[in-house]
Amino acid sequence: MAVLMLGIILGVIIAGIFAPVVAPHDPYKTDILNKFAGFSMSYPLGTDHLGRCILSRMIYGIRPTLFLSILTMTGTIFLGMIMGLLAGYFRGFVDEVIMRIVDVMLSFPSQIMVFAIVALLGVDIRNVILANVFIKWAWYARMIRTNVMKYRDKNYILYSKCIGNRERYILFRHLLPSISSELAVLATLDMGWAILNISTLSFLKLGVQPPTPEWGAMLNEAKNVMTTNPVQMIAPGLAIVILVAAFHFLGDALRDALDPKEAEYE
Amino acid sequence: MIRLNNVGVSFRKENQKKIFGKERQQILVDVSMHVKEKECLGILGESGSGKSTMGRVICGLLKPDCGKVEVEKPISIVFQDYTTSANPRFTVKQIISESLIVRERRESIRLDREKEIRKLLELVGLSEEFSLRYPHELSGGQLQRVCIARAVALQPKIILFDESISSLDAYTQVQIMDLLKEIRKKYGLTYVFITHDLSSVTYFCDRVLFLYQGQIVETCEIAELGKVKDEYAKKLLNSVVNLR
Repeated sequence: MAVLMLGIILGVIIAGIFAPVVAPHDPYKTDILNKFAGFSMSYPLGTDHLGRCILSRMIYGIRPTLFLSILTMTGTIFLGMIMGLLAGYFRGFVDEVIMRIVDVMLSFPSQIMVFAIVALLGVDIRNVILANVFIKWAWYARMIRTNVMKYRDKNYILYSKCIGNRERYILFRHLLPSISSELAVLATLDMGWAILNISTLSFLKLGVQPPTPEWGAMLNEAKNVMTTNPVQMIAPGLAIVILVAAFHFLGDALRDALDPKEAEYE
Repeated sequence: MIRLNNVGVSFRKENQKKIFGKERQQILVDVSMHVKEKECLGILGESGSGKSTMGRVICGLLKPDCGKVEVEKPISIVFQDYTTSANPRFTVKQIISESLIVRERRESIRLDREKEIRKLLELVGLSEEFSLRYPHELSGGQLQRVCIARAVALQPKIILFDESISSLDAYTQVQIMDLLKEIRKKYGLTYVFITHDLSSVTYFCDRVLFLYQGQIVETCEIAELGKVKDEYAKKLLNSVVNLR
């Protein structure tokens, strides 16, 4: 299962990187006479309302969809990790301050906060990423803090403290590797969420702007011709579902693989 | 070397009578003790008597509620549970290196780590090939030896043993104790030896301290063990004799 999912994800990433080679057409080239074309050898998924090749747009759309999601994921995980590590390891005052901020962040409805931030800073994909990181880090900080607390009373960390080793050594050589498996699971699950969120915002015309091909934006373009030319909508919709599901399944498989307790039951 | 004056420690109780109750459980009550240089002090007591808490106070992992703690640094520690006392992601070499790094910084010197590790492994009776193994590839006795090597690598003045040999089998216990005696003689170390096992104390320590319900009830030299006055200490001594 994990291998299959990893295969799908890697395939998509490679297709995205080598888009100019893989895609049969230029994604921006309009051919108004040939709009809403059906399946054919030269247009495997047909054309959209401006006569652009849907498959090419899908393949080029991988770039913003996936790479912006990776950026968002890295940002959230990184911020969450730092905050979670600090709160979980130092406890006391630092923990109180960070966790109360987290509590406040978590009590906002996240989607609406993203809209609010984007509206405030202006419609731009950079603002979307910023807003997503800003909203989502709190959740990860809490998860990572719990994991850190599981390890901070282990004897090898007590030993380090006892002999007066540097905090930096304890945090980055002992604690961080210990929680890395949990981090990997969180990161894969977060990817799915980021893809969905960026596509949603693009669909609402708050994220990636047309004519740049992006799966969410393509869905938006397709909604007017939903009944007459359903392929234009089904293709990006299905792609999003498959990719997000692949990330979630991969996260699940990773958790099973990395959790020693799960392995015992097999 | 070590001096505790009227130390008291308490924890918040887990099962409170009220929802936000603040009841506390007293773990150590007015504990005063001292350890002389190059002495080996045994701390003896049953489970829950506060011996491990006392160990944590001594090595600075726990701040007491009241009282004064004076401990000469550097101090090192060997734990009971060897399965968690070494990072499972570290090799033996890395485990020992951690102490060497701290020592390098303390004395602002550069050490030939490879050589030091070889010497330390030899000291605890392990061959050099162990240095690339992970903790799960070692037996309990071997891992505990690595932990001792790690504690010695720091070149501390004091080493605290928190039930360090209790979870090993009898034969390995004697081996490790002989090893510890030898190390102590070689480096002139001070030992604090926390245990519930009277026989290992008599084999190993100069002086013994009886801890009962968080209080020190009796202190005596090993040679004068027969002359203890306290009821609890007597009971503890008798229970061992009866078993034999």
